[in-house]
Amino acid sequence: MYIYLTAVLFFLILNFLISVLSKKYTYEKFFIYVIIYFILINVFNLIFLKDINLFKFEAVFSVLILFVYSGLYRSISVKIMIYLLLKKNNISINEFYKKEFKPKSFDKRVKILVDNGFLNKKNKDLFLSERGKKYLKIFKLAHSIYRMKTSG
Amino acid sequence: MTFLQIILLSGIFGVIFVILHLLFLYLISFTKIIQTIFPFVLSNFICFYFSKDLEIHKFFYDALVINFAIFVIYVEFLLLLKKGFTLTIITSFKKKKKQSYNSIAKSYSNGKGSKWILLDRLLGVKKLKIIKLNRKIALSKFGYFLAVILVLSRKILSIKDFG
Repeated sequence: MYIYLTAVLFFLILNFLISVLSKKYTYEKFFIYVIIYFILINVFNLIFLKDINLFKFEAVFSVLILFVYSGLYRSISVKIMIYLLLKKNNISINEFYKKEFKPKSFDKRVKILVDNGFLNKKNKDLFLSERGKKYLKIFKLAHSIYRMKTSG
Repeated sequence: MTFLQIILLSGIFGVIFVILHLLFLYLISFTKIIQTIFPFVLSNFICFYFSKDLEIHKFFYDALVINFAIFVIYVEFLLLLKKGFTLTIITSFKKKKKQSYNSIAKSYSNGKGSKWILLDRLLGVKKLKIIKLNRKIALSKFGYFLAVILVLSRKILSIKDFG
């Protein structure tokens, strides 16, 4: 039992230190951190402890923590709830859309796509880069395999 | 060696699970993500049944935990394909090759528009009785409690910003 608690605490402390030390702690960085942590702890486990239960625990913990983090970091529903909690006053849908959602969620995502090289910007127009086109092909294929007509 | 046997058993499960899910998708039109539970349970039964006479069988209960982790990853992947916000922005370039910020917002999700996604998520949380939705959006008592937990969880995981 203590070993699981120690593993979780160690994970959280290391995560806190990385978030303080890195300039912008994004989901991508957290993802890389979880993968490296999972590999290292299991290498340690395989060499010294040889505990199958720890291996199982770490596998489920890593997957669930990624799932939870992704929700807390990216989910629109979570963003709405936290906004309402912190602002303490009610807001109309239109106002929320114009003030919060469009500039801080939608346009921000488009900007992230530009920054990460998925979209190219020329004057006011945006178009897919080579990288973006490659990903679009993959998404189209995945959508057709899983018979998804729309997403969003 | 034990680790490898568990990984092998879970690997076999993974292959059976994906094949079964696709079969259910094409033959019985299991398009809802919640319906992936059925192929998950069935593929575990298949693994259990066919490995019962083999040496590897004693690791089945250990592999079950890893199978669950595989299931969560798979569901996460499906959710990303179906609900992914950023992914849908990229797919909005299927029809129009050049778009402005406003044009992307209009053509989002096959022309439903960016406001649609907000309304869709609002209706989702309203169904769960987390918010009250009249002219204005307001948190319910349950929503308030949940929002406090979310803020605390974000603090524990050192999340400062929204993606």
